[in-house]
Amino acid sequence: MYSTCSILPEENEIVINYALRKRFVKIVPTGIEFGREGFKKYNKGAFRFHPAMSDAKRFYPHVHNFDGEKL
Amino acid sequence: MCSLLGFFVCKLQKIENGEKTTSGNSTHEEEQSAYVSAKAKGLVISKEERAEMQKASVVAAPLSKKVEIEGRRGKQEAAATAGTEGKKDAATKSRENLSVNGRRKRKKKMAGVYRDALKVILSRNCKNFTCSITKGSEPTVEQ
Repeated sequence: MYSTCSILPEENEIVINYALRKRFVKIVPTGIEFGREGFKKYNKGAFRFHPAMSDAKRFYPHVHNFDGEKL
Repeated sequence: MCSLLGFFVCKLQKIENGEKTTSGNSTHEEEQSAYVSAKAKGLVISKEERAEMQKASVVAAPLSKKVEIEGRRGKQEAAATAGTEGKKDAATKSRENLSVNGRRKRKKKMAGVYRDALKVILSRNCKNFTCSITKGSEPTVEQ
């Protein structure tokens, strides 16, 4: 399980994309039923990620009604 | 860097041999064999080969770049000197034998040519901007 307390794609989707390219791993559903999908593209299409990135989850305090915390 | 603005969670699983990914994409072995066959057909260019091709294309066509930058006079000179590498024509010889004043005049003239070229480039690329160039100063671009 890869998890961060960051909303930056540089620390999230880009890292996962690198792992998918360089390691024998695949993205599987997290089983978490709420949350926004991970980005499939970023910066007006400058970055394009694996389609399975939609199985990753993003959580925002102003959307999902929780207090921000530092992990 | 951690932030208080949100979280990201992603579950990764190791791919077993011969297993396909959840998105239906090919396995690593299939991708490797596809790469090898594409390379054999000449569809894949390595970084070194691409760099060599770019180098060869720059050496083969330097005149087209010069024509864009030097303006009308540059076009005439480029057309006159095209295909005559190693030979100096009268225009080149007279240019190289200029006196100090002559060189100064030519430098001023070329500055005007570059300024005109810059105006054209800026007007093409920055349509919402006005470009002002005053004598003796750097060109400024205002929105």
